[in-house]
Amino acid sequence: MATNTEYMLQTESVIKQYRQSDSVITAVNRANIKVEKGEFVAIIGSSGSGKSTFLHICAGLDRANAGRIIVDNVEITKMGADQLGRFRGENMGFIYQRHNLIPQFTALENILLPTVMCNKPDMSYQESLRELVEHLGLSDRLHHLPSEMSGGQCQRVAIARALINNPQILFADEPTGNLDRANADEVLKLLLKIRETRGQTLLMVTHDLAIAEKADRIFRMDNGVLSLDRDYVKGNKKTIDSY
Amino acid sequence: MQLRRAMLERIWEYLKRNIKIAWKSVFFNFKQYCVFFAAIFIVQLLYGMMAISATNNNSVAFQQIKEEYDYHYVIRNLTLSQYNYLKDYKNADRGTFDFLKKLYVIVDYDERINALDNKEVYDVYLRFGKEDADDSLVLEYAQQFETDYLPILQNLESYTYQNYQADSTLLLDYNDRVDSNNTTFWIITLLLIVLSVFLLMSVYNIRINQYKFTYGVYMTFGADFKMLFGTAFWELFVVMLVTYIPAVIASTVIVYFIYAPSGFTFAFSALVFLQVFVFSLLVVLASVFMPMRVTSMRQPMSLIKTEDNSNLVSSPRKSFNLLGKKFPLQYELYSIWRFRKYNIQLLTTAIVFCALFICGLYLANIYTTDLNYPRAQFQMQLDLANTYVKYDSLLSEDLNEINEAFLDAYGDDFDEDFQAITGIETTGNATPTEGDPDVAQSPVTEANYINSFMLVNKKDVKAFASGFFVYRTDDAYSPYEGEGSYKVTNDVLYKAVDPDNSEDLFHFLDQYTIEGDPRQILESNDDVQYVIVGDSKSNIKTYKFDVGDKIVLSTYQSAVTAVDSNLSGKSLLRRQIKNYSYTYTEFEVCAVIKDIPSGSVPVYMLNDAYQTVTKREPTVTQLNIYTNPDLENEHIDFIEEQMRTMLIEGNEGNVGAVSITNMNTLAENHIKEDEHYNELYIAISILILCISPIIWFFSQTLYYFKREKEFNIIQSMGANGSDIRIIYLLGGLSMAVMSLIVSILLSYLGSYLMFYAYNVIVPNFSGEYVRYTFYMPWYALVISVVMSVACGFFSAYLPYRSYFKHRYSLENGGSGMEQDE
Repeated sequence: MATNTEYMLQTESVIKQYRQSDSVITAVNRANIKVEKGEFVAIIGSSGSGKSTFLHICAGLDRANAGRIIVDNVEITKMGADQLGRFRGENMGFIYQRHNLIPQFTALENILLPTVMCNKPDMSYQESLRELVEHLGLSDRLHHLPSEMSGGQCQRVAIARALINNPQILFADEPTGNLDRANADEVLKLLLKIRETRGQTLLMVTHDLAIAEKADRIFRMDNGVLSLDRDYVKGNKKTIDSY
Repeated sequence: MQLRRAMLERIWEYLKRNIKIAWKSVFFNFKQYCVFFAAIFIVQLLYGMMAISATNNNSVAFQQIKEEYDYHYVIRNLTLSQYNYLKDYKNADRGTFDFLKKLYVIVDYDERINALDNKEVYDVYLRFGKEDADDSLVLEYAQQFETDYLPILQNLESYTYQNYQADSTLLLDYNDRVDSNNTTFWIITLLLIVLSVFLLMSVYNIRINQYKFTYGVYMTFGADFKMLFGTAFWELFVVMLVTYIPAVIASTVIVYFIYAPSGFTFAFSALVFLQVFVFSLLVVLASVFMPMRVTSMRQPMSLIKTEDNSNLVSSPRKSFNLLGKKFPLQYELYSIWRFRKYNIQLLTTAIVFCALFICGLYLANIYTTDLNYPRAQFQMQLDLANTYVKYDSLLSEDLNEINEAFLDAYGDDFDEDFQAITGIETTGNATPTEGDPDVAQSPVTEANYINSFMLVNKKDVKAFASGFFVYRTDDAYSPYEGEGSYKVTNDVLYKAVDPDNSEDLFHFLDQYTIEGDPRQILESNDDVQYVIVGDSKSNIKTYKFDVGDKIVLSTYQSAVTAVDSNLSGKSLLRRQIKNYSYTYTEFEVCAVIKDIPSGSVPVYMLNDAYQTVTKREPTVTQLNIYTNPDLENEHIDFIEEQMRTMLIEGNEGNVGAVSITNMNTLAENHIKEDEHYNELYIAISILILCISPIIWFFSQTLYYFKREKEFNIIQSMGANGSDIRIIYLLGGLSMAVMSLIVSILLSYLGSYLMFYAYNVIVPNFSGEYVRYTFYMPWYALVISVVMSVACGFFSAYLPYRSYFKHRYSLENGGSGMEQDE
């Protein structure tokens, strides 16, 4: 187990390989990252560079072939499937590029899904629910099915779902990738606002530079190799444009 | 007390909460759960029918036995003094045993006069305990009587030429029957659990396969195995609760209508309903456990990614690579081939139930055949060490005279040529042990016991028959130098035929299918010796004998060199041929018995030939006496009485210690017929057949629903409605063709497995060889194939209508959701 209490997420030499016929493809190659508590880190890179795979591994949604992942001082790579599932439900939130809402559930049921999965008592999430619904402007859409909502509304429901258990760390895989600019900006604004209020750590994968520039630090993923963009200074648009 | 109450309340709350949530989930997705309602209903119905009939069968058997017997025990051939002892409850010192008075009651007795000494002999019928004594008390009394009292009766006569013979009746052995029935029932329960779990697991796996995305999302947000299993279990539990009452009512009604025509009491314990509930609970638990365990071990992302049907498609990368050649890429594009993993899984899962249907009907047919198969009603043991009675023309005529006596007594009810005794089989100790006095006098001998073997022309042995090897003269110490190529075996049973008493044998053999004329065996002379042979070994057709074929039997003369005692089977025989000296006798086949039960193949030869081959005297030590299946129990009693009288009165000077055992075959068959297993197996088979369409339509509907996106894309790229229709049509046709092939293959495999199990495996345990030839129940095969082909086609083609409606609705400004309403 790692002992560094300052970091919310640490990875050490994470490797993920896929076998294809006779060749082996290395999607993530010895990736190391340390994310402080409350920090917002963006990972940028071209399509197929391995950034989403790395994010999935960090969130325990996929397994690495080698390396260690430590979330809030707990090494998740050593956990069994059931233990990891429970840990993920309690401590992590995940937003997919596509909202991935359960089509037969209403918005409210989708939002409350993590509370059901973690057997949360009814009273424990009422305040969080009220806050999220209000901030994300979902009060008139709670009893609609995903097929009855717009893409932006669905993604807001997905954000509420990721935040309902008040996780310590949030993983977002191109959360606005499927939205138009106006919707993307609005959704991102809401996400960052809530995160800031709650002091949550955010690790986001994106290839939208406008979004990435809002992060505290930026990492680049290139052919599975993860590196810190040392030139990036938060708020300095030029450093981003040079990418 | 309060703690207990609090605990019960908590359990109740827990159950209520979970059932309530699951109830909502099930009825919200009712269409999706319809298939589970059907599957669980069938499972409960199957088990309900088995459980009700099992308990009812015990009642049926008991009622039948009670109608036939009012006594537990019969002691035959008692002398007057023995009878008086028994009647007066006397002890060895001629005092009275008071305890005996409660031990037994004499229900009835028969008195006969022995022709030899004009003294009376008595057959006494006893009942143990009072009329309402429970079973355990009756058994205890019976045991006490046998161990404590029978020896006293025995000791009363220092020597008697006719020892008494004590037999228990089915009334006393009823508990053994119940135990045996219960054991069978629990074995069937176990098999049904396996079958039911297989069914529900198959259906649940189809569901999981189509809902992997949902489970992936659940797991992303914290669901572990316990959560997934809990959700799945409670949902199926609700389904189980809903179907439970209709299923037990339906099973009760079906079983009632199966048994009602026989006029028996329809009686079973209410505990059966509890059994059905526990059974369904176990099945539901086991069915969701494994699929959910496997799902929970998967990574959430791998589950979410399968939303796009990718889990159903096989990548061309994983295609055949046979001897360095890859499967042609253009064929990879055919959709049926791309979905091969899914198709194979569906075909085998769905059609296996058609094969099980055929197995069920096969079983039903075997059961009926078994009941109708000739079995001896009486066994007469000729105790050669203590008696002068032997099987000769005198005894044969006496036995056959019983037919006349029977017609004298019951002639009004039967034709004048009615045969009460239909066959007398002479037999003996086939595999005697060393030193057994019967050894040298048996009319039956196993070839391997006397180091003998049989040479058969290669053409007369079926391909792949086991237990043979090619006979090479170079490998034999004293080779048979006849013409032709031979195979050799010692799985042969030599049987002697007495030319003076052969009619009984021919009459007995008439029960089987015979090619040629068995009576030609009597025409054996110095030039040609005839044999009657069977064509099967271990009930599997092994030989292709025709009338006129030649076989050669060897006779062991001496051991030139010792043979390793550790050898067995073919290795031993090879070594014997090499090390032993033999003489050979040639025989010509005059008749082939086509369906005689067999362990080793029987070879009937005349007494002289038998003596030449086996070096044994062919003396009969046992008679199996077959009676007409149309007889009633009353008639059987009459025949038994006649046989006993005949032995005492009709064989002056030849009477000795002969025991006649009533094998109760007729009574057993009556009971078995009324147990209605035949009808039950048929009903169960039909239910199993119903499972197949459930799997077909459930799986295919979900599969094509997932492919609709693919068809929409194809249409957006220029394909029209008829192109899409052709995809559905081709899918349906290819599934129909594959169903045809797979259903025929699986049906044959199922039938053969049943045949093999009953003809080869079971006889090894039961010791009784009852022959069934391998056959395919054609009507069942036709039903199975038609069902599979129709389901294969329509389960693929009918979803096109749904797709078309969906598409039409979208194109006309609808929501496209109409199909889900």
